[in-house]
Amino acid sequence: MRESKFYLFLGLGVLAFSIIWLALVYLQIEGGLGGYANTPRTIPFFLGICMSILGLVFLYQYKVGYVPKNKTNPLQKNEIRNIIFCIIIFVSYSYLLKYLGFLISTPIIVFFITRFLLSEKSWKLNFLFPITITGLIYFIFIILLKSSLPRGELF
Amino acid sequence: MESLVQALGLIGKFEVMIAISIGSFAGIIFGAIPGLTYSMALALMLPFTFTMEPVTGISLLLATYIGGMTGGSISAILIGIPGTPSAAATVADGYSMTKQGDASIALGTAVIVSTIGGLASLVIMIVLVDFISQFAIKFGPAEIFMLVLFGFSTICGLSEKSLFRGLVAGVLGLMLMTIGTDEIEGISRFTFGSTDMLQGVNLLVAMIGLFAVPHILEVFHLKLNKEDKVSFNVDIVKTKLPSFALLKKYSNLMLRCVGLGTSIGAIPGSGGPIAAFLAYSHAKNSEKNPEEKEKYGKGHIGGVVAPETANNAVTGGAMVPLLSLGIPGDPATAIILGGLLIHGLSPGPMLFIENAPQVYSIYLAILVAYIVVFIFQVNFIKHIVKILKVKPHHLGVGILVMVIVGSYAIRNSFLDVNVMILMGLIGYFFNRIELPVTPIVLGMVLGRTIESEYRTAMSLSAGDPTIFFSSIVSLLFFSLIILTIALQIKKRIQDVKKQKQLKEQVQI
Repeated sequence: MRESKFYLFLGLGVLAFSIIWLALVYLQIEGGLGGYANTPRTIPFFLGICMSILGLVFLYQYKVGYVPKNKTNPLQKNEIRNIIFCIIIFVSYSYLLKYLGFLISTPIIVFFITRFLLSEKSWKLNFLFPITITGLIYFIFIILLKSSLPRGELF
Repeated sequence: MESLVQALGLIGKFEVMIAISIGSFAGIIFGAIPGLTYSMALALMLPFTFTMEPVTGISLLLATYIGGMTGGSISAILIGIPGTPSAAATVADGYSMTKQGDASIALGTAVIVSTIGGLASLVIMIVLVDFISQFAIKFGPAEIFMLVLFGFSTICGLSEKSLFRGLVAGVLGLMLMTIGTDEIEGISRFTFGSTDMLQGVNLLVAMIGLFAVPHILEVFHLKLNKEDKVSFNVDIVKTKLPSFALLKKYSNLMLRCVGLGTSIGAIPGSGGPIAAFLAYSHAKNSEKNPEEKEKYGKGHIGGVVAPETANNAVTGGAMVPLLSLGIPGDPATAIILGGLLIHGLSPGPMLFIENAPQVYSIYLAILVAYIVVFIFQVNFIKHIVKILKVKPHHLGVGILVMVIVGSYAIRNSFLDVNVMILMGLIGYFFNRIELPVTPIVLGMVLGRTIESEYRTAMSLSAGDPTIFFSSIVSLLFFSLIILTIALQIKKRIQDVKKQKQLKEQVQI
């Protein structure tokens, strides 16, 4: 993204979002705006209009040549790949929690992250770290604070 | 008096003391490590307070907040990098003192003035909260709507440098809160036919996503790209408390900084960094001795005293609009508000009538938290600073576990995990393009109040919008909203003009 086009893209993005939102206001909420402007649609509709105005403000800023003070770099390919890796870990861990519960799934996922994602070679980090982190969280929240942690369907 | 006795009984429990100790420690750690924030610590802690007793849960959150505000000075003084934005003003003199071999006295001074600042602001807070609550109890829906809208406009305008970017984030937060079942008529909104979506976007899940996930993505990305963030090497340090004579010498300055910090903290959207920098500048400018004045920025103890007193006084100030009006001034108080609501405590004028013992417990929890933070920082500083040596991606793994467990445990729902991931991606993307995420959270926190008060007022007036301008209080808040926006627009126009002039000069 060229810096001079920052506000153009921002304005177009915000405007497009507001148009989709306003369409959804009519498609996803029953009823009209109402004679008293006091229905479930009123506030979402008003917010959609506000967002449209903000989109137009950004486009105006682009038109008058306003440039952001700090440079922003576009997302790189490897950055997107790494983000996808992280999302896969998030989702996998939540599924493991559902079936295996906190005490079993946490050491497994932490071991996987340290060994294969972060490529740590030290056995301390690969084996002691997952057990320590699981034990520490269990000790703090279950023993000390009498809170609860997810239980699995299988264990 | 009876409420106070009940509060003492509530706060004196073993679990509450443990919660305060853990919260203080976690806050100091998250505050001390650059890159981690105490807002993140609060967001991670919040889901685990669900199953706790109300006072235990709230005490945990308050102690985390206080520990975080105080802990920011550790890295500011020892490595010259502020752990929190509020500690940025401490860097100049604090780090200079470390380079001169006076780290221990700088740390000791920061600890004691932080405690004094925080406790003094607690006293002011108790008086102001009571006073404002008695006044605010007379507010109707129209006044509350205007008040919340004013809070929202100042937060969007002042929390970040750009009003319009702040507003985009704030409006997005308000939009997110309209998803789910409409509370007044029970109609579903933006649910796409899903029954899971009827509950709407969970505020806690959104907070976890916005505050913690971008940090995890960033540290893992850097590690995977072999551009790992550096961990810090810190020498063994001790905390050396300053002499009574030194404290006496700066007592007047501390008093002024307490006033400054508390009043700035009470303005939604301003917060610690502004208070700390103003206090620093005040300390420097009010120094009459030219030789002493010259030393500011080069290791003057006054440059630690002023910002540290003021930024901790902000904690008391920020609790004033939160407890008396239900308006959070920053992300941290927004999360504490979330904690209060979870436990059935609705901040506002009625809080004092319906839950007096719990209110007194909050005051006592803050008092105890400051004492515990003081004890930790004085006695365990050499152990606390070791955490600065831990690699960021290893801390990231711990945070990742807390993030998933926290968001899943709220309702044992995968939808919440998915929403958390989505909010995390929004937070990461917003950080990349420098859109603030704080107004999203505040929009989400204030969204329900704005809508319910608006609709109640409109129902009361049979659809006549003049109800919002029918009282002096409403008009006052409306004028303040216009003033806030006008000042921001004026500043923006001046910025554009300056940029144009610079461009023209470069071309010439």
